[in-house]
Amino acid sequence: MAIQIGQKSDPTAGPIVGIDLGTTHSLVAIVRDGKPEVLMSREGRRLLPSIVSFIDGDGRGAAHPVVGYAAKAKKVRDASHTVFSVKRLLGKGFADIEAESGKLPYEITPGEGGVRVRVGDRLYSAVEISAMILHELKLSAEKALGGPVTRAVITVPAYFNDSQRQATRTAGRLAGLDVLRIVNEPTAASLAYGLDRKKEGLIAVYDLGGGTFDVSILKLRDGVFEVLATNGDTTLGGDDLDQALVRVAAQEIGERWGINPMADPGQLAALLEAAETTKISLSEKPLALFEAEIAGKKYSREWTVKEFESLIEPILLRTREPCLKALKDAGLKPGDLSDVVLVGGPTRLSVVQRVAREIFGREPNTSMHPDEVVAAGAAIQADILAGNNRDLLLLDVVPLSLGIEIYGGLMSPLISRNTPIPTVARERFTTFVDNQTAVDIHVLQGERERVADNRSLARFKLRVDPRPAGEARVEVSFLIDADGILQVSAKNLQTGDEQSVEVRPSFGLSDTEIERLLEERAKYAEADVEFRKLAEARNEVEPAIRAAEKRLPDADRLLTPAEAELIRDRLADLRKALRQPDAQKIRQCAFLLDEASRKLADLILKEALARGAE
Amino acid sequence: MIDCFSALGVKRRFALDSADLERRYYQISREIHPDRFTTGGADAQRLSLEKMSDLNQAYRTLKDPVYRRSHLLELEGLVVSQGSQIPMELAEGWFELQDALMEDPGAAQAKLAQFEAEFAALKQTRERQIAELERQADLEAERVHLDAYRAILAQIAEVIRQESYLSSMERDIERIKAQRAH
Repeated sequence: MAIQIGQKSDPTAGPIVGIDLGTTHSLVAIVRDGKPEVLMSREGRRLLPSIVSFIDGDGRGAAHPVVGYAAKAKKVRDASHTVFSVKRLLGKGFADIEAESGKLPYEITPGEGGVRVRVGDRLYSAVEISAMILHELKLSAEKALGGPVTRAVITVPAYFNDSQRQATRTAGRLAGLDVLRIVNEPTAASLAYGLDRKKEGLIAVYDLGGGTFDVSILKLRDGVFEVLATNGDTTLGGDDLDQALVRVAAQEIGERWGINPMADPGQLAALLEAAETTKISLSEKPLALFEAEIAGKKYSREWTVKEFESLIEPILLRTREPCLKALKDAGLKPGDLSDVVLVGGPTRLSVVQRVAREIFGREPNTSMHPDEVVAAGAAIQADILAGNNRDLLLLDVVPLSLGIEIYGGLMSPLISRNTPIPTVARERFTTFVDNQTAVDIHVLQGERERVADNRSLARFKLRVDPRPAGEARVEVSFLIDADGILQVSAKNLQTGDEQSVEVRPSFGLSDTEIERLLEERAKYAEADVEFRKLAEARNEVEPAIRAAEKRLPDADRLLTPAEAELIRDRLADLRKALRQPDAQKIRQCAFLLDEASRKLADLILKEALARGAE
Repeated sequence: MIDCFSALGVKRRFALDSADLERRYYQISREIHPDRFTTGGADAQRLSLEKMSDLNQAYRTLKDPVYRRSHLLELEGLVVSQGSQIPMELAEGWFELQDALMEDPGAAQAKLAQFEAEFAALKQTRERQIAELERQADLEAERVHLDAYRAILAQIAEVIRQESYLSSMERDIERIKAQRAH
């Protein structure tokens, strides 16, 4: 359900970036000179691991989030304070992910409007964690582009439902981004694939990401990218392949040493990391060693590609049905396709390529960069929205049917899946008893008949004038916008008046909570500035320390013992200050060190210059 | 209700060229899609959203010959109701099949096959009938013979009404077959 975001786009508001907010990695990209380009993260890398680690900065409780490789480094050492794969929790309730929770080293608890992750004594929603990742991408883009970045296109799995899309948009808003469009990942990938317009025809995009699987069937023609059908599984991805390796290791460890590493966050994180490394090795080599240190003992096991493939093939075969359903919905047979494009890190594995080949009966296209193509596509869509590219146009569909609850606990569909968006369905409602003043409406998303088997999106009460039964009539418009997000409006048919609808989303943060978080963000921004100052100070004094260390061996020769001692003391003071979160103190100690070593520096320089004059 | 034909700028006909329809859909989309208005004002965005929703509905309707047919009839005020009577041609065979299923399951197989053949033949006849009527309607539309045109539309509506009974009967046949396979 849309929470109206009253942000107006300003054409002079700077660049629009494209963001791939992935389960395991995220990227930000932009189009320059007609070509998409990945922007470096602040860590100087192309990929930003979608991992947030909370560092207890000053011991006063305000844990500071660190995102990226720096957080990844803490995944094992500080497992209970490090959150990853949070995309799998976005827009979901506790019941949806109870099965997942034991597989993750961090703690998940139920919360209002969605689950919460416990870090120390604080609870974070998946939206907040995602916002931290997006904020880091925003800062990366600002650093790379040398100016403010406030507008973005963000990709989501095509099979994401309304709640998940809404959560992504809220996360963008919390990160200080005006989200101009939510784009489906496989559709974005197709834009990058067909950018040069040399490729036309019917294609399938097989997108196996870190945590989600999507398949989209598209028609590419005259610069129009028309999605014919999409399908997928939002709980199937590379993470599941890691989990399969972890399960084997945990079982063997249990048999060998009688302990359960799944119950210990640090041990579980160590196994997950080892699994990821093993999986990546096996995409390049026929043999890999799974190694992890568990309870002071070393667990190691050799995996051959063949063994690994037979372990994960049953998981990968789950991609088959969504592919066949998408083809059927598009009214096509595999033979009608002119290309099958592979997207996502796990498609590097030859077993994944083989599964795709078997499903579609043709050699899949592995020419697109599996990690970067979605971000590149998002950047192209951003360029289109900016008005710079009038040549290309995306026409997407809604992935899941939308309907309302009717008598008998059944869902009556209003908009069927794979309907092109934006789309609107108008439904008339009336009263059943005299002087009834409200009609309850329950909005659902899914393909099943029973209400309970579908996703509850929202409930709302339609106010009607008290009249004899059947006389009051209200027309409700269910509009799915170009982001695939539902907007509801209502009209009183007697008076013709538009009437407001107060929608209570089943999942997602309430308006009040978003407000609170936005306020908090302002505070965070302050903390963020502090943190950055600290990092800058630490970087600045680094050369001073190195110079002092280089000069110290000459100190006893050239200075009095007291003078030499002072330099040593002040160097020690600076090193101590570096371990504390106080930028001013660091700078002060650096100044004092500089002061104490000035005489030594002068003497060394004098000697050097004199030598040069000889 | 929107007029899907005028939304796509095509003549109101049963027979449409799908390639031409697609070209028009793409061309109009390029002009009115919300992607063209993201950096525009709220009113322009709202209008684009409404126009594109209508265009999408129009294209989806006209692309499919069955949806197109009922939309065209609807535009002329002909609402196709669900048929509730067994077509005469099938009545005898259907009741014989029911009897066989109850009394003599062994003989039912032959009856089922026989009925399926009768059913398929009638369905084909109906489809041919509709296709021929549609061809005539388009001709009258071209000549702007309103009375003749409306009369043919009414005939089409009647055939469809009967056909709608056939599809529910088709589901019954599938169910019988599934039960027997069990």
